[in-house]
Amino acid sequence: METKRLIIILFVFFAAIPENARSQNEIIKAGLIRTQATISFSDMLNSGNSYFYLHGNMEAYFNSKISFCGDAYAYMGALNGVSDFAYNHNIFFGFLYHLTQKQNDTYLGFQPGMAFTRLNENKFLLTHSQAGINPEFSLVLGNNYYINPYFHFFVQGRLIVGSHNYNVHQNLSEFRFSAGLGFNINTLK
Amino acid sequence: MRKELILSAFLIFLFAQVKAQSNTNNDFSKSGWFSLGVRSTASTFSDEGSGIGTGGQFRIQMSNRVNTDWFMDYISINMEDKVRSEYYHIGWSVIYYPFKTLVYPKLVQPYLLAGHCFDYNKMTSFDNPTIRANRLGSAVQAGVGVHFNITDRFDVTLMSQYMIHLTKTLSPDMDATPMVIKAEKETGLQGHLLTTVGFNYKIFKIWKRNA
Repeated sequence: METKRLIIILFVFFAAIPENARSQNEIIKAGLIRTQATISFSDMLNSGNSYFYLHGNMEAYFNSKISFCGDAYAYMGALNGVSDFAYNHNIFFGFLYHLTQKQNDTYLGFQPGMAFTRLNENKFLLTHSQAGINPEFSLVLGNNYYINPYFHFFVQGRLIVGSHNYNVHQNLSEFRFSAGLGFNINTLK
Repeated sequence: MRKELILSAFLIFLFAQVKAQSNTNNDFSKSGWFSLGVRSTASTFSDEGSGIGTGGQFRIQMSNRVNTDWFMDYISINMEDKVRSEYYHIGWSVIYYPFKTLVYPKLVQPYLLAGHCFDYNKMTSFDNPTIRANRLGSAVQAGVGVHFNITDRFDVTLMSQYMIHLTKTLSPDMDATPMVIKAEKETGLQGHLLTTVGFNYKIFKIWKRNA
Protein backbone atom coordinates (compact mmCIF):
# COMPACT_ATOMS: atom_id res chain seq x y z
CA MET A 1 0.00 0.00 0.00
CA GLU A 2 2.81 2.34 0.97
CA THR A 3 4.71 1.44 -2.20
CA LYS A 4 1.67 2.11 -4.38
CA ARG A 5 1.15 5.50 -2.74
CA LEU A 6 4.81 6.37 -3.24
CA ILE A 7 4.63 5.48 -6.95
CA ILE A 8 1.52 7.66 -7.43
CA ILE A 9 3.16 10.59 -5.63
CA LEU A 10 6.33 10.27 -7.74
CA PHE A 11 4.30 10.04 -10.95
CA VAL A 12 2.28 13.19 -10.14
CA PHE A 13 5.42 15.01 -8.99
CA PHE A 14 7.46 14.37 -12.12
CA ALA A 15 4.56 14.92 -14.50
CA ALA A 16 3.76 18.24 -12.87
CA ILE A 17 7.25 19.77 -12.97
CA PRO A 18 7.07 22.84 -15.23
CA GLU A 19 10.48 22.61 -16.92
CA ASN A 20 11.83 24.99 -19.52
CA ALA A 21 12.60 21.98 -21.66
CA ARG A 22 8.92 21.45 -22.29
CA SER A 23 8.87 24.39 -24.65
CA GLN A 24 12.47 24.37 -25.82
CA ASN A 25 12.80 20.83 -27.15
CA GLU A 26 16.39 20.76 -25.92
CA ILE A 27 16.40 17.36 -24.28
CA ILE A 28 16.81 14.98 -27.23
CA LYS A 29 20.17 15.90 -28.72
CA ALA A 30 23.80 14.80 -28.94
CA GLY A 31 25.18 13.91 -25.53
CA LEU A 32 21.90 12.74 -24.04
CA ILE A 33 22.37 9.68 -21.85
CA ARG A 34 19.40 7.76 -20.56
CA THR A 35 19.17 4.75 -18.30
CA GLN A 36 16.41 2.62 -16.84
CA ALA A 37 15.73 -0.38 -14.64
CA THR A 38 12.42 -2.18 -14.69
CA ILE A 39 10.68 -5.53 -14.71
CA SER A 40 10.15 -7.01 -18.16
CA PHE A 41 7.51 -9.61 -19.02
CA SER A 42 7.84 -12.09 -21.85
CA ASP A 43 6.10 -14.66 -23.98
CA MET A 44 8.10 -17.50 -25.54
CA LEU A 45 6.85 -17.80 -29.10
CA ASN A 46 7.51 -21.53 -29.33
CA SER A 47 6.51 -22.97 -25.96
CA GLY A 48 4.01 -20.35 -24.82
CA ASN A 49 5.76 -20.01 -21.46
CA SER A 50 5.92 -16.58 -19.85
CA TYR A 51 8.91 -15.35 -17.89
CA PHE A 52 9.90 -12.15 -16.18
CA TYR A 53 13.25 -10.38 -16.03
CA LEU A 54 15.01 -7.52 -14.36
CA HIS A 55 15.74 -5.27 -17.35
CA GLY A 56 18.35 -2.53 -17.25
CA ASN A 57 19.82 -0.45 -20.04
CA MET A 58 21.96 2.54 -20.85
CA GLU A 59 21.79 4.58 -24.05
CA ALA A 60 23.94 7.37 -25.46
CA TYR A 61 22.70 9.69 -28.23
CA PHE A 62 25.13 10.69 -31.00
CA ASN A 63 22.48 13.12 -32.26
CA SER A 64 18.70 13.35 -32.19
CA LYS A 65 18.38 10.44 -34.64
CA ILE A 66 21.05 7.88 -33.74
CA SER A 67 22.00 6.35 -30.40
CA PHE A 68 23.98 3.40 -29.13
CA CYS A 69 22.22 1.26 -26.54
CA GLY A 70 23.20 -1.68 -24.33
CA ASP A 71 20.56 -3.79 -22.58
CA ALA A 72 20.86 -6.48 -19.91
CA TYR A 73 18.17 -8.88 -18.74
CA ALA A 74 18.47 -10.97 -15.57
CA TYR A 75 16.13 -13.94 -15.53
CA MET A 76 13.84 -13.96 -12.46
CA GLY A 77 11.42 -16.84 -13.03
CA ALA A 78 8.31 -18.13 -14.77
CA LEU A 79 4.88 -16.53 -14.61
CA ASN A 80 3.05 -19.71 -15.54
CA GLY A 81 3.88 -23.39 -15.12
CA VAL A 82 7.31 -24.97 -14.79
CA SER A 83 10.13 -23.06 -16.45
CA ASP A 84 12.25 -24.65 -19.16
CA PHE A 85 15.25 -22.79 -17.79
CA ALA A 86 17.23 -22.56 -14.58
CA TYR A 87 18.19 -19.19 -16.03
CA ASN A 88 18.11 -17.27 -19.31
CA HIS A 89 20.07 -14.05 -18.89
CA ASN A 90 20.77 -11.80 -21.89
CA ILE A 91 22.80 -8.89 -23.09
CA PHE A 92 22.09 -6.89 -26.25
CA PHE A 93 23.96 -4.01 -27.83
CA GLY A 94 23.36 -1.96 -30.94
CA PHE A 95 22.14 1.21 -32.58
CA LEU A 96 18.66 2.70 -32.40
CA TYR A 97 17.10 5.06 -34.94
CA HIS A 98 14.88 7.75 -33.42
CA LEU A 99 11.91 9.66 -34.82
CA THR A 100 11.60 12.59 -32.46
CA GLN A 101 8.98 15.25 -32.09
CA LYS A 102 9.43 17.70 -29.23
CA GLN A 103 9.73 15.50 -26.11
CA ASN A 104 8.34 12.43 -27.80
CA ASP A 105 10.87 9.88 -29.04
CA THR A 106 9.75 6.84 -31.02
CA TYR A 107 12.55 4.51 -31.99
CA LEU A 108 13.34 1.25 -33.68
CA GLY A 109 16.51 -0.77 -33.74
CA PHE A 110 18.33 -4.00 -34.24
CA GLN A 111 20.52 -5.36 -31.46
CA PRO A 112 22.68 -8.49 -31.65
CA GLY A 113 23.29 -10.16 -28.31
CA MET A 114 24.02 -13.24 -26.26
CA ALA A 115 21.90 -15.48 -24.06
CA PHE A 116 23.47 -17.13 -21.03
CA THR A 117 21.26 -20.15 -20.45
CA ARG A 118 20.96 -23.35 -18.46
CA LEU A 119 18.07 -25.78 -18.68
CA ASN A 120 15.85 -26.76 -15.75
CA GLU A 121 17.18 -30.24 -14.88
CA ASN A 122 13.88 -31.39 -13.37
CA LYS A 123 11.86 -30.41 -16.43
CA PHE A 124 14.11 -32.27 -18.85
CA LEU A 125 15.12 -35.12 -16.48
CA LEU A 126 18.81 -34.27 -16.75
CA THR A 127 21.42 -35.30 -14.21
CA HIS A 128 23.44 -32.22 -15.09
CA SER A 129 22.50 -29.32 -17.35
CA GLN A 130 25.27 -27.33 -19.01
CA ALA A 131 25.58 -23.58 -18.85
CA GLY A 132 25.55 -22.24 -22.39
CA ILE A 133 26.30 -19.10 -24.36
CA ASN A 134 24.06 -18.61 -27.38
CA PRO A 135 24.14 -15.89 -30.06
CA GLU A 136 20.88 -14.01 -30.52
CA PHE A 137 19.52 -10.98 -32.29
CA SER A 138 16.59 -8.75 -31.46
CA LEU A 139 14.33 -6.19 -33.10
CA VAL A 140 13.32 -3.33 -30.85
CA LEU A 141 10.45 -0.87 -31.08
CA GLY A 142 9.70 1.64 -28.35
CA ASN A 143 8.82 5.10 -27.21
CA ASN A 144 10.31 7.52 -24.68
CA TYR A 145 8.48 10.57 -23.45
CA TYR A 146 10.86 13.06 -21.83
CA ILE A 147 8.97 14.93 -19.12
CA ASN A 148 11.97 17.04 -18.09
CA PRO A 149 15.79 17.05 -18.41
CA TYR A 150 16.10 14.27 -15.83
CA PHE A 151 13.19 11.85 -16.23
CA HIS A 152 11.23 10.10 -18.94
CA PHE A 153 8.57 7.44 -19.30
CA PHE A 154 9.27 4.56 -21.64
CA VAL A 155 7.60 1.56 -23.25
CA GLN A 156 9.51 -1.01 -25.26
CA GLY A 157 8.74 -4.20 -27.15
CA ARG A 158 11.50 -6.60 -28.20
CA LEU A 159 11.41 -9.62 -30.49
CA ILE A 160 14.29 -12.03 -29.78
CA VAL A 161 15.51 -14.82 -32.08
CA GLY A 162 17.99 -17.48 -30.99
CA SER A 163 18.40 -21.06 -29.86
CA HIS A 164 19.84 -22.92 -26.87
CA ASN A 165 22.18 -25.64 -28.16
CA TYR A 166 23.21 -27.43 -24.96
CA ASN A 167 21.82 -30.76 -23.63
CA VAL A 168 18.47 -30.36 -25.42
CA HIS A 169 17.87 -27.89 -28.23
CA GLN A 170 15.45 -25.12 -27.22
CA ASN A 171 14.08 -22.29 -29.33
CA LEU A 172 14.75 -18.98 -27.56
CA SER A 173 12.41 -16.88 -29.72
CA GLU A 174 10.59 -14.58 -27.38
CA PHE A 175 8.67 -11.31 -27.19
CA ARG A 176 9.44 -9.04 -24.24
CA PHE A 177 7.67 -5.97 -22.97
CA SER A 178 9.12 -3.33 -20.64
CA ALA A 179 7.72 -0.05 -19.34
CA GLY A 180 8.45 2.39 -16.57
CA LEU A 181 10.27 5.52 -15.52
CA GLY A 182 13.81 6.19 -16.73
CA PHE A 183 16.51 8.69 -15.91
CA ASN A 184 18.27 10.97 -18.40
CA ILE A 185 20.91 13.65 -18.38
CA ASN A 186 22.46 15.84 -21.06
CA THR A 187 26.23 15.57 -20.89
CA LEU A 188 26.92 18.20 -23.59
CA LYS A 189 25.87 21.85 -23.56
CA MET B 1 50.31 -27.26 -50.01
CA ARG B 2 47.21 -26.69 -52.09
CA LYS B 3 45.63 -24.43 -49.52
CA GLU B 4 48.74 -22.24 -49.17
CA LEU B 5 48.80 -21.85 -52.95
CA ILE B 6 45.17 -20.83 -53.10
CA LEU B 7 45.57 -18.44 -50.18
CA SER B 8 48.69 -16.83 -51.65
CA ALA B 9 47.09 -16.39 -55.08
CA PHE B 10 44.00 -14.93 -53.50
CA LEU B 11 45.92 -12.42 -51.38
CA ILE B 12 48.12 -11.35 -54.30
CA PHE B 13 44.98 -10.78 -56.36
CA LEU B 14 43.43 -8.83 -53.50
CA PHE B 15 46.40 -6.53 -52.95
CA ALA B 16 46.76 -5.98 -56.70
CA GLN B 17 43.14 -4.84 -56.85
CA VAL B 18 43.54 -2.44 -53.94
CA LYS B 19 46.79 -1.05 -55.31
CA ALA B 20 45.25 -0.55 -58.73
CA GLN B 21 42.32 1.30 -57.23
CA SER B 22 44.59 3.46 -55.06
CA ASN B 23 46.63 4.46 -58.12
CA THR B 24 43.67 5.38 -60.29
CA ASN B 25 41.49 7.09 -57.74
CA ASN B 26 42.53 10.55 -56.64
CA ASP B 27 39.55 11.28 -54.52
CA PHE B 28 40.48 10.64 -50.90
CA SER B 29 37.99 13.00 -49.25
CA LYS B 30 36.41 10.10 -47.40
CA SER B 31 39.64 8.32 -46.52
CA GLY B 32 40.57 7.95 -42.88
CA TRP B 33 37.08 7.37 -41.49
CA PHE B 34 37.02 4.96 -38.56
CA SER B 35 33.65 3.25 -38.07
CA LEU B 36 32.52 0.96 -35.31
CA GLY B 37 29.59 -1.43 -35.45
CA VAL B 38 27.79 -4.60 -34.47
CA ARG B 39 26.56 -7.48 -36.59
CA SER B 40 24.33 -10.51 -36.66
CA THR B 41 25.14 -13.33 -39.06
CA ALA B 42 23.18 -16.24 -40.45
CA SER B 43 25.22 -19.26 -41.54
CA THR B 44 23.55 -21.30 -44.29
CA PHE B 45 24.31 -23.69 -47.17
CA SER B 46 26.60 -25.84 -45.08
CA ASP B 47 26.69 -29.59 -44.41
CA GLU B 48 26.24 -28.75 -40.74
CA GLY B 49 22.91 -26.96 -41.11
CA SER B 50 22.12 -23.36 -40.34
CA GLY B 51 22.88 -21.18 -37.34
CA ILE B 52 23.13 -17.60 -36.17
CA GLY B 53 26.01 -15.56 -34.85
CA THR B 54 26.80 -12.36 -33.02
CA GLY B 55 29.80 -10.12 -33.51
CA GLY B 56 31.23 -6.73 -34.22
CA GLN B 57 33.48 -4.90 -36.62
CA PHE B 58 35.37 -1.75 -37.27
CA ARG B 59 36.15 -0.17 -40.63
CA ILE B 60 38.99 2.01 -41.79
CA GLN B 61 38.29 3.72 -45.11
CA MET B 62 41.31 3.95 -47.42
CA SER B 63 39.80 6.05 -50.23
CA ASN B 64 36.39 6.97 -51.60
CA ARG B 65 36.23 3.64 -53.44
CA VAL B 66 38.09 1.34 -51.04
CA ASN B 67 37.24 0.47 -47.45
CA THR B 68 38.50 -2.19 -45.05
CA ASP B 69 36.35 -4.20 -42.65
CA TRP B 70 37.87 -5.88 -39.56
CA PHE B 71 35.49 -8.25 -37.85
CA MET B 72 34.99 -10.95 -35.28
CA ASP B 73 31.98 -13.14 -34.66
CA TYR B 74 30.75 -16.20 -32.84
CA ILE B 75 28.34 -18.57 -34.60
CA SER B 76 26.50 -21.53 -33.08
CA ILE B 77 24.95 -24.23 -35.29
CA ASN B 78 22.55 -26.93 -34.18
CA MET B 79 23.32 -30.16 -36.08
CA GLU B 80 20.18 -32.31 -36.03
CA ASP B 81 19.62 -31.70 -32.30
CA LYS B 82 22.67 -33.88 -31.57
CA VAL B 83 25.82 -31.82 -32.06
CA ARG B 84 26.66 -28.14 -31.48
CA SER B 85 29.11 -26.70 -33.99
CA GLU B 86 30.66 -23.39 -32.90
CA TYR B 87 32.70 -21.05 -35.10
CA TYR B 88 34.86 -18.16 -33.94
CA HIS B 89 35.96 -15.88 -36.79
CA ILE B 90 38.51 -13.08 -36.65
CA GLY B 91 39.37 -11.55 -39.99
CA TRP B 92 39.36 -8.71 -42.43
CA SER B 93 37.89 -7.86 -45.82
CA VAL B 94 38.61 -5.29 -48.47
CA ILE B 95 35.49 -3.48 -49.65
CA TYR B 96 35.34 -1.96 -53.11
CA TYR B 97 32.61 0.46 -54.18
CA PRO B 98 32.16 0.03 -57.96
CA PHE B 99 29.79 2.97 -58.43
CA LYS B 100 31.43 6.31 -57.80
CA THR B 101 28.18 8.26 -57.66
CA LEU B 102 26.37 5.91 -55.30
CA VAL B 103 27.54 7.41 -52.01
CA TYR B 104 25.78 9.40 -49.29
CA PRO B 105 23.32 11.24 -49.66
CA LYS B 106 22.27 8.36 -51.95
CA LEU B 107 20.57 5.77 -49.77
CA VAL B 108 21.93 2.66 -51.45
CA GLN B 109 25.68 2.03 -51.82
CA PRO B 110 26.54 -1.41 -53.23
CA TYR B 111 29.98 -3.02 -52.88
CA LEU B 112 32.11 -6.06 -53.51
CA LEU B 113 34.24 -7.63 -50.81
CA ALA B 114 36.98 -10.19 -50.41
CA GLY B 115 39.22 -11.09 -47.53
CA HIS B 116 40.78 -13.55 -45.16
CA CYS B 117 40.08 -14.76 -41.63
CA PHE B 118 41.26 -17.11 -38.95
CA ASP B 119 38.65 -19.50 -37.69
CA TYR B 120 38.28 -21.90 -34.83
CA ASN B 121 35.66 -24.65 -35.00
CA LYS B 122 34.53 -26.83 -32.11
CA MET B 123 31.94 -29.61 -32.26
CA THR B 124 30.39 -30.96 -29.08
CA SER B 125 27.81 -33.69 -28.49
CA PHE B 126 24.57 -32.45 -26.88
CA ASP B 127 24.22 -35.53 -24.68
CA ASN B 128 27.83 -35.96 -23.65
CA PRO B 129 30.01 -32.83 -23.75
CA THR B 130 33.16 -34.94 -23.24
CA ILE B 131 32.66 -36.10 -26.84
CA ARG B 132 34.08 -33.17 -28.77
CA ALA B 133 36.72 -32.14 -31.29
CA ASN B 134 38.19 -28.85 -32.40
CA ARG B 135 40.48 -27.39 -35.01
CA LEU B 136 42.11 -24.08 -35.75
CA GLY B 137 42.30 -22.93 -39.34
CA SER B 138 42.27 -20.26 -41.95
CA ALA B 139 39.63 -19.17 -44.43
CA VAL B 140 39.02 -16.85 -47.34
CA GLN B 141 35.77 -15.10 -48.13
CA ALA B 142 34.23 -13.10 -50.95
CA GLY B 143 30.82 -11.66 -51.61
CA VAL B 144 28.60 -8.67 -52.22
CA GLY B 145 26.92 -6.18 -49.95
CA VAL B 146 25.09 -2.93 -49.72
CA HIS B 147 25.23 -0.02 -47.28
CA PHE B 148 21.98 1.77 -46.59
CA ASN B 149 23.19 5.27 -45.70
CA ILE B 150 20.69 6.43 -43.09
CA THR B 151 22.68 9.56 -42.20
CA ASP B 152 26.10 10.88 -43.28
CA ARG B 153 27.68 8.87 -40.44
CA PHE B 154 25.35 5.95 -39.85
CA ASP B 155 24.66 3.04 -42.16
CA VAL B 156 22.88 -0.29 -42.10
CA THR B 157 24.78 -2.93 -44.05
CA LEU B 158 23.45 -6.12 -45.58
CA MET B 159 26.01 -8.47 -47.09
CA SER B 160 26.34 -12.04 -48.22
CA GLN B 161 29.70 -13.76 -48.54
CA TYR B 162 30.87 -17.28 -49.13
CA MET B 163 33.60 -18.37 -46.72
CA ILE B 164 35.85 -21.28 -47.66
CA HIS B 165 37.78 -22.95 -44.83
CA LEU B 166 41.25 -24.01 -45.97
CA THR B 167 41.74 -26.53 -43.22
CA LYS B 168 40.93 -29.91 -41.73
CA THR B 169 37.23 -30.62 -41.38
CA LEU B 170 35.48 -31.95 -38.29
CA SER B 171 33.25 -34.89 -38.96
CA PRO B 172 30.68 -36.27 -36.47
CA ASP B 173 29.36 -39.82 -36.81
CA MET B 174 25.97 -39.28 -35.21
CA ASP B 175 24.76 -42.86 -35.76
CA ALA B 176 27.65 -44.43 -33.84
CA THR B 177 27.18 -45.47 -30.19
CA PRO B 178 28.76 -43.67 -28.50
CA MET B 179 28.92 -40.78 -30.94
CA VAL B 180 32.32 -40.05 -32.50
CA ILE B 181 33.58 -36.63 -33.64
CA LYS B 182 36.92 -36.63 -35.39
CA ALA B 183 39.16 -34.21 -37.28
CA GLU B 184 39.74 -35.53 -40.80
CA LYS B 185 43.41 -35.78 -41.69
CA GLU B 186 42.80 -34.60 -45.23
CA THR B 187 42.23 -30.90 -45.63
CA GLY B 188 39.20 -29.93 -47.63
CA LEU B 189 37.56 -26.92 -49.20
CA GLN B 190 34.58 -26.75 -46.92
CA GLY B 191 32.57 -23.60 -46.40
CA HIS B 192 29.36 -21.80 -45.63
CA LEU B 193 27.35 -18.83 -46.87
CA LEU B 194 27.34 -16.03 -44.31
CA THR B 195 24.62 -13.41 -44.56
CA THR B 196 25.21 -10.48 -42.25
CA VAL B 197 23.22 -7.48 -41.06
CA GLY B 198 25.54 -4.85 -39.62
CA PHE B 199 25.14 -1.38 -38.14
CA ASN B 200 28.03 1.06 -38.31
CA TYR B 201 28.73 4.55 -37.08
CA LYS B 202 31.60 6.71 -38.33
CA ILE B 203 33.30 7.80 -35.11
CA PHE B 204 36.21 9.95 -36.25
CA LYS B 205 38.81 10.44 -39.00
CA ILE B 206 42.16 8.82 -38.26
CA TRP B 207 43.80 10.99 -40.85
CA LYS B 208 42.72 13.90 -43.04
CA ARG B 209 43.71 13.92 -46.65
CA ASN B 210 42.11 15.78 -49.53
CA ALA B 211 43.88 15.03 -52.80
